[in-house]
Amino acid sequence: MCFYMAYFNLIVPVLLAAVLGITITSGRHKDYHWRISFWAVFISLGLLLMDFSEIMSSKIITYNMLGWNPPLGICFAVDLVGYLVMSLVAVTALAALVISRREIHDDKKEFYALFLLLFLGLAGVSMTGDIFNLFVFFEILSIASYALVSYSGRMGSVASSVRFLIMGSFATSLILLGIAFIYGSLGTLNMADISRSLTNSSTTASLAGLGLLLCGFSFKAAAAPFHAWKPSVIRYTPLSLGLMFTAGGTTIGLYTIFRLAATIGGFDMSWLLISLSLLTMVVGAVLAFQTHNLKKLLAYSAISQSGYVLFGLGIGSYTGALYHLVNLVIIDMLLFAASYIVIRHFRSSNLDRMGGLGSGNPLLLASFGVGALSLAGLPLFNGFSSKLIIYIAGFEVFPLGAIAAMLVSVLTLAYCSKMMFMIFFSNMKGDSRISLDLDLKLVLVILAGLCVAFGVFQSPVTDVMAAIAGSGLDRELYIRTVLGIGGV
Amino acid sequence: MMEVVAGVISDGWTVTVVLFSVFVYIFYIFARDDSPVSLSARKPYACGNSLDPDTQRVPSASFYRTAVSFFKMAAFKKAHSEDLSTYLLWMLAGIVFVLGYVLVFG
Repeated sequence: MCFYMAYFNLIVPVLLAAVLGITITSGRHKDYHWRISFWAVFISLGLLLMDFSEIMSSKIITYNMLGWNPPLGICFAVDLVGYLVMSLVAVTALAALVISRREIHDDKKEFYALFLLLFLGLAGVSMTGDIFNLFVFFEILSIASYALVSYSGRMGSVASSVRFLIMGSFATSLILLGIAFIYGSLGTLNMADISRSLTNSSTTASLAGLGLLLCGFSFKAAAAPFHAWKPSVIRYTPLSLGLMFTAGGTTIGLYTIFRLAATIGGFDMSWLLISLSLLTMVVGAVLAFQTHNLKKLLAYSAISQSGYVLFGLGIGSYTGALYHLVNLVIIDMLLFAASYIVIRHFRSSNLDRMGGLGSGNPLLLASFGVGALSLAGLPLFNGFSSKLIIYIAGFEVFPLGAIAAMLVSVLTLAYCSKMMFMIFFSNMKGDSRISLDLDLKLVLVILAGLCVAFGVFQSPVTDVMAAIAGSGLDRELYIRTVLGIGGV
Repeated sequence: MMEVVAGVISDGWTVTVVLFSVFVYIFYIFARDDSPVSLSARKPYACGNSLDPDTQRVPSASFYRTAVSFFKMAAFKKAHSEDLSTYLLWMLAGIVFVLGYVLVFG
């Protein structure tokens, strides 16, 4: 029984968000709101650890709300992939909170109540077992996101939020329409039951429903051509929030595409995913190369890298895709934390206004360098390990696609070196020495260490990812466990 | 879907590369010349004229100018000008592509 995760991982953020919402006007200091949020996320991570032994033994843990059995009742189902994704979201939220403590102004206390709702939505998506609740959790995180993007009240962020709201509503409408098509044709909303029904027969309506779901999920994952919202939003938001959208939001979007391809099925979407992934990789990398804004560069880079995960899913290298997803979250956390320090120092995200940090900041230079080299996929760094698995699998299935992915890596190296050059090695502008607090130093060291460790110890990490991917691909086990039946 | 099994680099190879890198770094430390260089020796010498190093420095933004101009495709820039209708048009194109694929090949 998934007692801890299903109940407390959803109830704790909701209750504490409500507490924070009530106390916004009470005159309490921002640190009070920060501490409550930090503990909420920390408790969620602890609850995940409490369920660790159970999920390792049973592979999938389910919980039926109020004892109503699926497919009629509301069901939470977490397999190893969902567990991994939930863990990534929680760790990302902790890193984002560490950055936000300095970044968010004292009078913007509502940030933390909305942040917890965003976290709740992300957690809910990774745990739910039916597509309607998936939609509900997407709505919760979307509404929190729109409010968070505009909370600063500045013209650019409000305009960006309105654009995001219109595009986001369009995307969630597609998801809702897809759900309606699937429910109308199959008569069920439970993912396991949909998968079982599609194994037996699929209709045009159900296929159209799956296509609409894929469009909506691609928007959440910022896959091209549904990606345009992301750089626009991240440019106007604090980096802590940008990290949540990039590492947390994209992870959840890619997870739902994984769930659609591996669990629900219905049709072979390999070539569709390959097409979208190549477009995503190229568009993201080319635009990252062009831009002179550090925040937009990070956003485009995240878009390009999520293309590799999609490519892995498309060619059937689920191990490579999951490995790269984990690496992507680690690299994003590292680069966003380092970028926060750089942007705070220069009071601008414009790369042309930066320079000269190469001397006097060895830790910042080293951590930024590790992040950039990992992103580019150079040997001994984690990005290389996961990309290598995807390349090798790609050459077996679609060699041209693998070559294209390798060329995009060259482009990635180019924009990473451009970023490094402009921040650290270009002309000196102002005082170059930056003093870092202990917690930021720790974050940089731990994340840079993880980038190297995941690159050097490739074999054990690959084995773990293969086991997780294998569990996620076991459709029969998922259906049997969720529906509580002996065979499919 | 079946998973494609892919090969990985062995830990032995990785350790070899790490040890080789450490060896190269140690070699570099001992081999580099730390002796002081006079200012006149540092000055670049171009066609008989001595130039100040600062005038020789290439601005960081210009470093990739050729490559940036190569990739500066008008369609890409126009499609990311934060114009909502353009963004929605891209999304619509994506929907048509995905639904077309699903309904034809699904």
